[in-house]
Amino acid sequence: MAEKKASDITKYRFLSSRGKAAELICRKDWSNTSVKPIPLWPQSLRTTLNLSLSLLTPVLFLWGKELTCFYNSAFYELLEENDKGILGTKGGELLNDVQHFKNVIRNASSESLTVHPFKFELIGNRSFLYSVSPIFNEENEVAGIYIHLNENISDTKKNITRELEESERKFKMVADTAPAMIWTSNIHRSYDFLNKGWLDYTGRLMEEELGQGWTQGIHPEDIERCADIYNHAFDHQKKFSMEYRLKRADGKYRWIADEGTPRYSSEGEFLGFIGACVDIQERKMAREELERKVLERTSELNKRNIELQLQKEFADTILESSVDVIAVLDTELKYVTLNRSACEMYKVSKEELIGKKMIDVFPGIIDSGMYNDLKTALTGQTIHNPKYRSTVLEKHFENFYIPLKNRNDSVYGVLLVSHDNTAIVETTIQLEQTNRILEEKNLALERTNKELESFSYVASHDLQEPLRKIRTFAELIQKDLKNEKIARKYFSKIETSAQRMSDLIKAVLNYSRLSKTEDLYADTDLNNILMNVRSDFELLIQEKGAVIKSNKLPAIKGIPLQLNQLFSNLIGNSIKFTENTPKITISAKIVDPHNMPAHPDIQPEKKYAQLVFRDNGIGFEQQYSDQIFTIFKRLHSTESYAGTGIGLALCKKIVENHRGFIAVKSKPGKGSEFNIYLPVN
Amino acid sequence: MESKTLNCLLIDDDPDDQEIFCMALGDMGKEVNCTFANDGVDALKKLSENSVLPDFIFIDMNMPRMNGNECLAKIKEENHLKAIPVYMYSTSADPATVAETQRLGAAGFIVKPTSVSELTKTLKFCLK
Repeated sequence: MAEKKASDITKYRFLSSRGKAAELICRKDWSNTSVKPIPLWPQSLRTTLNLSLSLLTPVLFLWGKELTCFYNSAFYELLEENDKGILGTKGGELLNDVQHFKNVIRNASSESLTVHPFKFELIGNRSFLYSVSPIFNEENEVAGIYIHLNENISDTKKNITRELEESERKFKMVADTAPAMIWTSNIHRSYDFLNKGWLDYTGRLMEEELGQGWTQGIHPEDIERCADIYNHAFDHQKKFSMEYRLKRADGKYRWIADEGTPRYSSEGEFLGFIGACVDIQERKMAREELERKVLERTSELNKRNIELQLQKEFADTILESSVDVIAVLDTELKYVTLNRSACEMYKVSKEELIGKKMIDVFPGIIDSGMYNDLKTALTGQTIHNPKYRSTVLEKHFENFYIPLKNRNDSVYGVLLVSHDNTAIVETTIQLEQTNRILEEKNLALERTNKELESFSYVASHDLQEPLRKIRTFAELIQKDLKNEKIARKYFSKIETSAQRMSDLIKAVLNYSRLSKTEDLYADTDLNNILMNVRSDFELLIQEKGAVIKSNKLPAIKGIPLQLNQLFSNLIGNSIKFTENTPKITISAKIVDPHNMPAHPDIQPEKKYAQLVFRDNGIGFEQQYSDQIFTIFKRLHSTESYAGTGIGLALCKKIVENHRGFIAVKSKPGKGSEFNIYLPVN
Repeated sequence: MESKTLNCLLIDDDPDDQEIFCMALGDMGKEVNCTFANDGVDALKKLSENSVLPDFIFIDMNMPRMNGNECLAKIKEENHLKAIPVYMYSTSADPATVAETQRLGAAGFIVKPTSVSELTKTLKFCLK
């Protein structure tokens, strides 16, 4: 084979310049390439090759439609070990910036000695001065691109390159010792460096990570998003930061924060990006935990908010549906809130009251019990006032004043609950009035009952007494009919008893006939009454030489017949119960109740006519002053002084019929003084 | 037995009743001394003045100044008088009134009868 190949070199004179490149060209089987086997090669290619192989400076040229790669031995020497097989491959696949070269082809123009920042990755990323020129074929068409790396660069340029290499080496060293994960990418967006920190982290080799290799470690869910951010940053040469999950050496994905910054040459030319990454797994987890907690808390708060809202609505519903007046006031007694019943009661809208001081809205309140109760409640005391009358509203309330306290037990307001009791209170007042009337009627009935009892006593006792005597005396007469003297004596006694019985029956009739019927009331001039009585007693007055004096008496509304009887009984008693010449004085004046002796039946709003009957009669012990007005009560035997025991009882009943009252002062032998008080109108 | 003369006090404001009481006592067939008082006040005065105390006392219920019950109560308050039997003596006998006299210590209640002989019978029973 080797002999055969050697013969090939000799066979093709254009390859005869020897060298490694010529040898490789000769050996390569070109039949599957676009340039076809060597014998078919055109002269232009042969000439270009011949020339290139003879040069000692590195030359690379790309031929034909597929930009098939050719180089000379000097270029071959520059190539890294792995890339020595690029001969005959498609140039487009090898050179990142193939477009640049295509432009040269299209324009058919040369670019000579251009210092281009483009790096031939194939030759260790080293920078070269190079010239690019089109290669024309026999038909005068551009058949390839001729790239001639110029070794003849000046010393300065070499030094710059060395310095650049040195600084790059230093950067890599620094980057490798830095605790962060650092990367750089070129303008083709490929990663061209990853520091030790990155490689240690991912547990992969530099070769695996270069170019796009590093993306293999990114979590599939994050790749697309990161690519968008990265490409966008590249397009605009702007800083970016992104977070993604990166597979660590132990196979676990961990969150990484990656910050990339565009980098430029000293001439301001865009070189690509440099980035630094840090593991933010813990931070991210903590943040996610925090976010989760915040979310949880927010949801709890929302829930609580809804609950509170419901509670508030519930409370509001109760508040609004209450028939009681409910209001909340603050420590200055300003309205904080109040319910519908309150608005209806005060006849104002909520807006008119809330925020206003109670005393500004209802100035009259300052003198009321409510104001004091509210003030007391503000000291922390609960007040219950079962009977509060509002003079402003003219209503009765049962009020509760409840201090509202915060957690520190200090009062921040008062809850006022007013229950309108007006209907009940008014009914109660009416009931009380009715009760009073009933009680009065009961008392009157009790009095009537007592009178009736007295009446039955009369029937059983006082009326029986003369009757019993009549029967006894009749029996005695019958025993001794022939004794005329005895008969006369007992007949006389029978006569006396019968007379007494007749008097009693008349008196009882008089007493029972006393009526209070309103029809009988008339304006009555008491002077006329006195005049009538005087004329009734005319004979007796003359007989006893009685003197009756009186001042001018008033006129009152009364029952004339009964008043006549009253005057008659009193004056009659005064004439009857005396051992001297009767002297009777009657005086009258109008008095106020507070100038009168205390008596349960006094009507404080009325004025009274006070009538005083004074005599010089036998009088009696003051201790009997009540008894003498009782029916059939006699202080003297019928033998000493005539009388039925009804007269003063009758007087008392007449006075009471007129809603007045009677009292007596007396001393034995010193006369009596009857005081009668009758209401005027 | 028969030799002892009984002393009797009648307290009554009605002279007719005093006379009738006397007649009835006279028909009893034994010697009875009777003294009279016109009302309770008069009776208590006499009882405190007289050295000889009555063996029996009869009191009318209805009297001026001091009624029968008041008089009875006063007598029963006095140590030297309270042993003397006291009979109440009245035209009518209201059960409440009778009960009250019993409570106060009366020995009995006599309703004034319509005939002297009847009263004599009653007194015979009382003065045994």
